[in-house]
Amino acid sequence: MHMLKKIGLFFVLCFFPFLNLGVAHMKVSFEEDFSLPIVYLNLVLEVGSLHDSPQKLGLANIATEMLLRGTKKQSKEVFLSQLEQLGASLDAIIYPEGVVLHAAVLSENTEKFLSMLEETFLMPLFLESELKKLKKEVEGQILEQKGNDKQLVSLNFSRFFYGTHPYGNPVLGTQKTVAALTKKDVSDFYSQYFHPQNLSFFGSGALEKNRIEKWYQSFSEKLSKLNSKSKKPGPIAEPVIPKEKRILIVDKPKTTQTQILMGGVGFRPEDVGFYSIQLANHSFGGSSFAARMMQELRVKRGWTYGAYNSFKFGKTHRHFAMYFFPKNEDSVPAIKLALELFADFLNKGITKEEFEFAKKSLVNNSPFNYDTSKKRLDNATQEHLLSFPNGYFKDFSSKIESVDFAEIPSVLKKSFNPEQLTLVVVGDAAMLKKDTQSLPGFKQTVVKNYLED
Amino acid sequence: MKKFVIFFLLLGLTSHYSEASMSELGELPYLGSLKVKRYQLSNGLKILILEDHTSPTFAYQTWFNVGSRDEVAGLTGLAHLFEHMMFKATKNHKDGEFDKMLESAGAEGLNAFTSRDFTAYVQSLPSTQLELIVSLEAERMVNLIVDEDALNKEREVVQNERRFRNENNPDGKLDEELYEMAFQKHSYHWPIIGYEEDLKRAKKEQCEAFYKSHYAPNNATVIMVGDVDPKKAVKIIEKYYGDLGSSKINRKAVSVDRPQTKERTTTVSIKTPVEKILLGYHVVDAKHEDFVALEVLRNLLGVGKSSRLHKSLVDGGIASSVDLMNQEQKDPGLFEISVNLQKGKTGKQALSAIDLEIGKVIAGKVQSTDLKRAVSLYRFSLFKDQASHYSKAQFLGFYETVAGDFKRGLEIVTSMDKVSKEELARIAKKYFKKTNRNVVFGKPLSKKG
Repeated sequence: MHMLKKIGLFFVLCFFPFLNLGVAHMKVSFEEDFSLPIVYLNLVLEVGSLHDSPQKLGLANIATEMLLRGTKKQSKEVFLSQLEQLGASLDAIIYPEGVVLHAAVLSENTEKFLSMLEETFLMPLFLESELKKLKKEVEGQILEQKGNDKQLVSLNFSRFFYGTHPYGNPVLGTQKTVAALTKKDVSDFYSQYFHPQNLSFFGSGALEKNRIEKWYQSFSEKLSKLNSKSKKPGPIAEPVIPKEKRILIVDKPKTTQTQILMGGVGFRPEDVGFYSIQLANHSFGGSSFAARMMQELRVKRGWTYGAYNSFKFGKTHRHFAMYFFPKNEDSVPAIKLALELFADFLNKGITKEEFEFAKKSLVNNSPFNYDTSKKRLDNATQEHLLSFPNGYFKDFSSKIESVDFAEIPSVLKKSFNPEQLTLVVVGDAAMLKKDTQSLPGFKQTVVKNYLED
Repeated sequence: MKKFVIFFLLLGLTSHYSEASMSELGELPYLGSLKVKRYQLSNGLKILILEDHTSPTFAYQTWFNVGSRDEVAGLTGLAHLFEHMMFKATKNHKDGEFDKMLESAGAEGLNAFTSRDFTAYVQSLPSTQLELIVSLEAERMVNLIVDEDALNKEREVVQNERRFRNENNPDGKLDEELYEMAFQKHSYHWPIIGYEEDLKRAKKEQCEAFYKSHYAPNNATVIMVGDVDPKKAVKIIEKYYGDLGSSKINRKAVSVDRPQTKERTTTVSIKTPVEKILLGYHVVDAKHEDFVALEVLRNLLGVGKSSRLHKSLVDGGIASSVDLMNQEQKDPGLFEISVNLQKGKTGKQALSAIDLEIGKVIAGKVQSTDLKRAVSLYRFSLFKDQASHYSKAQFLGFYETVAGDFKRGLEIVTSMDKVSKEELARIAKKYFKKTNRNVVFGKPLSKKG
């Protein structure tokens, strides 16, 4: 009871209200937190790799990075040096749904930093020579990803699973599309999309809320005038996934271990049974060490270091995927076992004991969804970017609390299709191809070299 | 380092009494208005408590003074393997119960990690769960059961972790090569995760002996950060740890390498289409007087997009990224520079650019704005990393275990302002000699592997 009271008070303190400042759908929120001398700001542009056209994959990334490469007043070198002398950082993280410009600064230097941010976003330089350099850097990053098998399986899963749907777009683009991007592409991206109608602003830290609201209002008004012909990005259609079991082997010869992702169509919070699925998955493949995948694949057999089933959320339905990484010889047996566990999960649901344990764990753990102002800032950013309900993270435990054990079997049966599964394996194809043909119901096996885009 | 050994030997001599009493050793300033209370039980267990009531949660971490440095050749990977075993059955709890009890209590980040110098067990919990975690951590500190079957399963899990982190990971592979080359006698030579053959070889009795030699209250520090009442916390600690006797810690003498006199290089094949290069210069331990200047140098050379190496390597069209790490260890570690090359560029080109930038520092070509930038970025990263109870506890546990006192972590940042360009030139000249350098070139394999 004492604990509940504390959490109740805590909710009030961490509430993240939106303030509509009257400029074309502009959204801004800020939580004061003077416990450490630091200020965090997230400027969210609702245009990401989902909006890259097939010929211009990687544009959202390149265009946003170019914003951080000098202004009409100062060269990149001078600008970045001054920024870093303040004890500050400004980085762009590109998501499919949008770009988050993460800014942070020692609070004693906030005023100077805010004027530098304004200069960055209102007076970008977009030098041809910088674009050339950046394209080379990004090409290096694309190639470097091919050395990281965990990234490789994730990238290939997205491309194979979504096919031509924009959720299959690689955030960095491909070597070919990045090489073809021009200065005009970058400046068009900026003038078309960098407008308050596509922007939101979230922050927390050692600064008075009024100050940041005033700054953002002034900044937004200037930006509105500057990019007056901007547009909103087009809507994203639901992905259409083939109703069959497919296999892609990404051939990386002489590796001693495979990286495996196997999954299907995922969920959104508005789906019927969404929270029942979240709860049930905690017992099947969630972060719990008691979860069935972890117990059967790791604890009982020692086949893999990690074994999970997780959900990728987006503006549309995305995917769920089981993930594990056994040594070569155990790979096909591990896939077969995961398929059996999955079928059993869908056919029989979870036990009452598993249900009680999952509910208790998730509810008791919920304070950690929002225990720091930085986390609350990132939650608000994610809720906005993914078009999740406001307060999704805050309300998660009460939604879980209301899940009824009796509804779980029917929700699982209706929500998952065990005949619509995509399996992607990064590993030595010579060792895998024959054995994967014995997997029940999987028809197409595609093999590609790991160096291919 | 010497101080550490003497301290633990002394505690070892006073072993095997029960009902330890708690001493309050004072309150020390931390960041901002936060304070750390320090306690010690007479069985040697050290306790640090930082009260912070900004959320109804707390972090609880147990840092053991044991890492891969405490292993012997032929039996590497035991410290890390044991980290895995610590989640298994104990005298009073069946296998799996530890995780289940904590998970259902709402534990967050229930985990552990092993380094060359320490092993830490970490988790955060709602503030109502303090007694639960204290009872469970005290139990596994002395009552673990090493079951043969569980050990064999976990051995396989660790082999898979090894394949994941080292064998099939270009960066892990380069790191393993670098330490093998740089340290030829010291136990920093072998990878923390151990060698495949050694992991196969480890017997149950050897694992039990390792546990008994290193897991005891006088070899550990408990850190609590968050919504805790120190008076109540101390009583709970006394209740569960008070009866545990201290042990004689069998700390083996660590061999010391002779100073390196010529550059060492090696080339490894990696399954990636671009080259990589990893350099390691022998430097100092975390308590050494030169450590602070080395940290300033690290920030000046490689932290941020306007750092010198970022400008020369990334903007210069040679690399796609560069990262620097000044290993903070009990014994002298390595100052590492890791570079991912752009397509068609070579490690040798990167090496020349690095030499050029280091040469400029040695020649005193450092502006006051360069120094300001380096110090500001260090302060910034310190505060940026301190958002959660977990990260504050990690800071306290790390410096308390590696440097003997958490105040060392604060001292590094407060003494940075005193570092001059002459000091940077001196340490660059002293440590960044080619003869003190180890270089691993990572070269791509052909398309067919």
